[in-house]
Amino acid sequence: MLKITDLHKSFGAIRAVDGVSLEVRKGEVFGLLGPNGAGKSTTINMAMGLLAPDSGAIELEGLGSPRDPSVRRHLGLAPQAIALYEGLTASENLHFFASLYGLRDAKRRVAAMLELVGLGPRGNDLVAGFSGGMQRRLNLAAALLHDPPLLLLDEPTAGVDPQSRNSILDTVRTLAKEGRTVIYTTHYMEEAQRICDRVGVIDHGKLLDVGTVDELIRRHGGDSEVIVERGNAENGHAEERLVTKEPLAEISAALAKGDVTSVRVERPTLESVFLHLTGRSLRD
Amino acid sequence: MAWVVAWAIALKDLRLLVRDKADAFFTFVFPVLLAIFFGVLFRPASERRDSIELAIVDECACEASTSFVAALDADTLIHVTPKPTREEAEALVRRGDALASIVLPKDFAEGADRMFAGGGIAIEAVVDPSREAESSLLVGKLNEIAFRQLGQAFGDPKRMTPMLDNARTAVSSSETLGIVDKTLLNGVFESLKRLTTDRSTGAGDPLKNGPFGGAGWSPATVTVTKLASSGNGPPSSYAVTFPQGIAWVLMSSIAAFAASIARERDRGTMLRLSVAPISRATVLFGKALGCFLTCAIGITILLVVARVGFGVTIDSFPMLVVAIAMASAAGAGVMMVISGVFRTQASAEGAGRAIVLILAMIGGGTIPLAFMPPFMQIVSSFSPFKWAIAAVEGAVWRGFSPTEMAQPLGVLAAITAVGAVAGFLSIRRGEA
Repeated sequence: MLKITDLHKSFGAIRAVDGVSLEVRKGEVFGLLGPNGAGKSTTINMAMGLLAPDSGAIELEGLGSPRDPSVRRHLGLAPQAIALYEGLTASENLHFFASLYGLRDAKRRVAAMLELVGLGPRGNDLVAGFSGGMQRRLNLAAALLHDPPLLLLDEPTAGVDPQSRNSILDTVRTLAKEGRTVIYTTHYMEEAQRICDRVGVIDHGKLLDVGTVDELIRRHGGDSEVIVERGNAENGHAEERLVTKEPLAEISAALAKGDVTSVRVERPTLESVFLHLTGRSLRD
Repeated sequence: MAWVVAWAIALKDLRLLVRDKADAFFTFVFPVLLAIFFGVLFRPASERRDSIELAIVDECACEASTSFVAALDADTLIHVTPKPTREEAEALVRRGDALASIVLPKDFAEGADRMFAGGGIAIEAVVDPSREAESSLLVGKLNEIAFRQLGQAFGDPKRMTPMLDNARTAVSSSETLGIVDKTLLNGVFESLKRLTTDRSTGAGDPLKNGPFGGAGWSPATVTVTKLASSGNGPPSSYAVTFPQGIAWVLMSSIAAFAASIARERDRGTMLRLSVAPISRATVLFGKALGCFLTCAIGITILLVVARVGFGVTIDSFPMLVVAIAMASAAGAGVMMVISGVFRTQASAEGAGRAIVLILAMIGGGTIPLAFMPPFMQIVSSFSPFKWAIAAVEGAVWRGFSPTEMAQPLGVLAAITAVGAVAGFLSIRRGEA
């Protein structure tokens, strides 16, 4: 769907993107993880055709470079900032964005998108009066309006309430099931683990690794940790932490010794993958 | 497609501008208010006070006093407000609503009948001390009207006969006049009586047919004609202040749109416009079109109010349409330059607005160019607003020929071109 080959981009002496290559497959949700300044936004901007790379190539579904406005018709962007006009109603916003794409059935599409993000009854209300979560959902609707096969969602759940977050994540999964390709950037590891088919970790302009969440954890997450709690009311409780590649074997062994009050396993997460690959936490 | 999208962007911006009450007020309403304010301020004194306001108390309420009040009111320089009491009349003067309170006392009629017998009519006037010069005019006016009344009495034997009888009685009973004077005066009064009687019968009416002319008599005939416009000056102060108001329309539009472009960058909506399947040139053209339309609508509103509300006449409508179009295009050009220089909302709303304000002020937005000292008139040439005002004035009252219009229109076209270059550079920077 989207093929990026040996992409380079510098701003003066700063190498923002340094040899990134990746391929996003049709119908997958691809997560791009990286802290601010990692080169994530520059990569996205080049993928959207907003910036010209110094070298390398970006090709969309055999159509060519997204620098060509006609190719950008196949892309949908929900920027990190809520890119809406607060002085317009939800419906007016969508109608305006529809006009940019020359949509002939704009009225039907606008109504459908408002319904999709749960804002059907609020279509005639000014965006200024919307909550952060509602604005985020409308931001997503604007990206979907022209029915693009490739969606780019940049931190689409930043600063929203849990209800809106769940709604957005469910919508993304639904879109992927319908066959759309989604590139999803987020700071929330649990979101990436929940919805991304594959994840790419980027830092200092370099793509450090790409794989499914399980693959990345296996490769970089380290061992699981088995936490065993023993004891009773008379002698008190004691906690034992066992780092192991074989958590089941460790649990069996612990149970065999007896006096176990509880056992739990803590698996490595994308956070530990990120820490391992970059030497710092994603939220640093 | 590009035109459709640019039009959609322009309409969206217009809608946003109208919904922003402050922007809409300063773009469409404030310039009108300012033009009216300065129009009133710069009105010549003759325009400001069309007539002398008098509060009049007719205590006599007789035929002579009624006739006198009617004569006063008929005078084009005087407007009379009848009041029942002296207090009410003086209150009007105290408030500044009248120059003087005029009282026609109860013995006004007797005075009128004794015009040839010494004394004459008595009029009491209480004048506003702050309007001394006009008070002198008033005294002259009152005398003129009294004299006119006397002239009219020559044709009315009913009024003239008792007046002359009173005079002859007074002369006969006088102890100071000698016999010769008494004889002469009585002879004059007798002649006047005969003249009056002859006029009433229509036989050989010397006032009608003689050298005095027709209606009544007056010592001098003054024909008043208003000085015609020389053609070089404005027909009224509003013909200056309304074109001047376009500086404020342009200023508000430029500031609003420069800030709106910066706001689009800050809020991310520009990013959404940029990823749409349209060129950046189309996006910027749409913004410029929105600014152009706002300027044109604002200027049109201003001039419609000037025409309908204040009687400002337009010398040449075709020329005005061209002037409005070029002024609006230059406004869009300046907006592109400002938005290219000040790229954040804060800088566009702060420094950008301040620069546009200064340009508007030196360009004749506050003080008309004609009132500026010579060096400021030279400085003002660097302001686009001066040329916009000049073009519109040229079409409204200066009566510019196409050749004379070429200069302001040429400068406005150059400013538009600079704006287009600024937009092009903005695209080249890839940050639009």
